Amino acid sequence: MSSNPGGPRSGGSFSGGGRGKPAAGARGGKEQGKRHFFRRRKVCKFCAEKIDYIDYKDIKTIGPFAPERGKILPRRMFGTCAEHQRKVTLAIKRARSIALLPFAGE
Amino acid sequence: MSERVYELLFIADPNLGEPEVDTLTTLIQGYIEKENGKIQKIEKWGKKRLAYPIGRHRDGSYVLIVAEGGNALVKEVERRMRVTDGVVKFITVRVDEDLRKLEASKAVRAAEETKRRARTGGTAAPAPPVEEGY
Repeated sequence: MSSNPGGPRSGGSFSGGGRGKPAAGARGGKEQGKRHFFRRRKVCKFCAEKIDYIDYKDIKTIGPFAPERGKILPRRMFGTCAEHQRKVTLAIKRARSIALLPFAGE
Repeated sequence: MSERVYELLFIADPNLGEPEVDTLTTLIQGYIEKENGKIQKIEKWGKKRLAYPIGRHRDGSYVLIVAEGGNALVKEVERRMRVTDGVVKFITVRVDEDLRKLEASKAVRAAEETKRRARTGGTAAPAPPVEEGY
């Protein structure tokens, strides 16, 4: 019982109701030796901007997801969440069928 | 039961002048009204470059019509558009369900917002955005 790994705030890990400070990073004495620093986390653009309906007519928003050759980029490129990636895909396909976006590149 | 809402986007022949596109639009509007559809909105985008050539066309004038109606409406209007001269291509998309979902999620967001306000005791500091992405 002598070695308590819980660190300075042992025992009190209620998720404090409301004063939500997300305790980012600085969680002191844990055993994770040398960890490389945070890579910038990609956040889904549509989640961040709270866009729920992705319109196939709005090429400005969708366009970047299918650049140059007109291929739809994989999720990992933009960090889009699964739900929104699905919607983007559908929108691009619709836009293609009405010649707003190309099927194949230049 | 409310009717469905459809977006009908079509490409008119680029060689048609402005008034001819208008006549074409009224013609299609007529098709919709004949099937008891209600027009909600008509938007002319004007001439645009097509992303790929369709037939012999490289440009096209886009017209968007938003209409309310049933599935029979779409069937009939699409059939007629296929045989109408001057229509290069069209697409019909049902939007009412998506719009309804949009409304719902907006309402949820608003509710969350007020809840958060109440919790933080009125301070207008917006809490960190909910992290949904990964």
